Formats: sequence, C-alpha cells, structure tokens
Amino acid sequence: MSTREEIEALIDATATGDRSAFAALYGHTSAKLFGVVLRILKSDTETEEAVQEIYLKIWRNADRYRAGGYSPMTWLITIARNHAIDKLRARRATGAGLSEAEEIADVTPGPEALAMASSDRARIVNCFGQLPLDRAEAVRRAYLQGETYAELAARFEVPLNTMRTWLRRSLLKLKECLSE
Amino acid sequence: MSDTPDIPQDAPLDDDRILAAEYVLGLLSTADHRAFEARMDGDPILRARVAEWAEDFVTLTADFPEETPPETLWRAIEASLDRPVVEPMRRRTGLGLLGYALGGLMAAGLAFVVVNSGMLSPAAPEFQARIAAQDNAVLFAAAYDADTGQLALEYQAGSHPPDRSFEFWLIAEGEAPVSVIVWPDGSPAEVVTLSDELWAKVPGAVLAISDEPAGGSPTGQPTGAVVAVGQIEPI
Repeated sequence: MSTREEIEALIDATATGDRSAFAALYGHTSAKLFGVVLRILKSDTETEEAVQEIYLKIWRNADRYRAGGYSPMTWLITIARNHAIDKLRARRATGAGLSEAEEIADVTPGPEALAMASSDRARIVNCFGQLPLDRAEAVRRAYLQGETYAELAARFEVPLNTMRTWLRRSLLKLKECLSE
Repeated sequence: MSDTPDIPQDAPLDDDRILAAEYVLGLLSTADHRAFEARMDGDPILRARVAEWAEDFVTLTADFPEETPPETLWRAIEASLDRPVVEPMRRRTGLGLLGYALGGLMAAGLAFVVVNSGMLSPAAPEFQARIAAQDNAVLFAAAYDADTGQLALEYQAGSHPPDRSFEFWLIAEGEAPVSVIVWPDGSPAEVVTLSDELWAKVPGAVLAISDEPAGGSPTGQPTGAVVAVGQIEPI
C-alpha cells in the first residue's frame, strides 16, 4: 500500500484530468477496492461491473475529494462501499439475492478481525465489543450489507421503531467509546 | 424526529452525531437524507462528523483481503473514459440500476431507496427522455446518471425495415448530431457510457433516432429519416 500522501497526490492529479495519475491511482488502489466490493457483492461478475463504475465515479468526482475531509483511502473505499450497497439493495429489491446463508457468512468478525494489528481497527473492534452482540451485528449489517431499518427490524423480529431506537442508542454508545 | 414518536423526549437520539452515522450508513429516509445533505453544505462541523464516522466504519473493511482485478478491467475503464462504450445491459438480474428508472412507479421508489447511500450525488439517474415518434410507433426510454456518465436506453416499441438499423444521436442545441449507438436489433435495453465531452452536452440536448443502413450511418451523420425524437429533461 502506498502512503496517504501518494494516494492524495494521485487523486488531486486525477481531478485535473491526468490520465496517467488515474492509471497509477487504479494500480495502487484497485486490489483493495475490488476486495471490498467482492466481499459485499460476493459475485465476480457483479464486482467487475461495479468496480468499473466505481472508477468512473472516481474519475468524474476526484475534484470533490478535498471538500469531504476524508483520508484518501477512506474516500475511495466509501465510494466503493456505497456503490456496492446500491447494487446490493437493487438486487434485493428484485428478489435476485443470493441465498440468506451466503449473505450471512461474512458479517460476523473473523479471528483475523480480532487479531488485527492496526490500532484504529483495534479501537473499533473494542468498541463494537462493548455493544450487546445483536446490536453490534445490526450496525455491521447496516454498513456491510446496506440493511435498512425495516430489514433489520424484520431480521431481529422487533418493531421498526424499536429497531431505530436500538440502533441509535448503539451508535451513540459507539461514538462515545470511539471518542474516548 | 417526527417519525419516531416512541422515542422518549429526554433521550437525545436525534443528536447530530447519530444523524451523521445514519447518513453514512444509508439509514435515513429520502427526505431526511436530503435535508441532512442540505445542512451539511453550510456546516463544516457536520461534514467533519460525517468524515469521522466514515473513517470509523471503513475500518470494518480493514481485514478484507485485497483481490487483484482481472487485467481486462482497467482496459474497460480506460476505454470508457474516451468514447462511448456500449455494454449490453445485464440480463441476469434484469436491468441495471439505471434500468429501474425506466420501469415506472415501482422503479422510481427503488431509485429513491438507492439515493440514501450515495456519498457523492445520488446514484439515481438525473436526466431522462422519452424518445417517441409522433404516433408512438417508435418508442424508447432513456435515463442518464451523471456520476457514472451512463446513459441507459430501453426499447419499448417500433421496428424498422429489414436491412436497416436504428441509430441514436445526441443533438446539443446548435451542434451537429453525435452518434450514441446503433441499436442492436432485438435488444431490450442498452447502457452507453458517454465520453466527458458528450456528457457535458446532455442537459438540454435532444435524443433522436434515425433510420440508417444496417450497421449505422456510413457518414457519421444521420442519412435517413428521423423516426423519433425526445427532449432530455432533469428528473
């Protein structure tokens, strides 16, 4: 992985229409973005199509990077995540989803998640760990599967407003923990 | 929050910190999402809260293994920057995202849902056109998403004589028509990625279909009769 400054410089150059910078940006970041999208969509064909669209978005919107205040990899991964979630929601809306079992497989943190080295990751794993298991799972599902309040309410078999209250409380607790 | 009557007033659950998280997760209703974005425009603190959550949540992907994409992918991306690239719309799942905008009421509902997780601008199409003959004997629908530069076209009605083709043209005011696609006969829908240059001309332009020799106009300009026309309008 390249440094934050290198990626940032490549995004800035891409914003000026510099194709070789965009090619370098793709070279440095596409494996990560592809990995994230594949983990969300779990289909090679759909992931290829999505990643192509994601890089077109990056190409067209690179000039908006600075306004967001994101770190460069967060900006890129967030674009990728949002696009993948759009696809996943569209897939669910047409009932063309993968089987439930496949969807669920990757949502709980694996051993590698708990043993990870980065301190950021340790911090969030720790704070997720302070939430009741089902609430942590709900937040994770919202982020990694794009599940809506209605879908989460159905999954956890609670009324919609209860789900909303649960999740909002969990987010507040998470924020308080992360800000410590 | 008017939509959460069961939350006790003393619970500060409409805290901006929570709203920012809901925004990042894509949990807000369309109206709340838009209201939030409007506030964000003039509020650097709110933008900072969103960025903080984005940083926090992104760490959930930290242990996702990298996967090198196939080599063809970069070539496809690079090609789509330069010129209109025609990709058949996905048929396995029916229509792609843009396709939903073409399909009517239920589709419009879905486009709304999709908006909620768009970090840039909405993922839903921003322009549409109905390309029709006067008697509707030839009819296509079009939707355009400026974020991806993709123009989705959907066949609805019409046919041309044998050994002829329908060719689509984008016509900006006062400019020569630019070929968008020669319609593959029998295709229900196509997605065309417009070049930056063409993309800039979309707002206010007209889409027209002409009757051309099979395979498209030999001159690069329409040679046959214009069989259908539609104004591109903001959604």
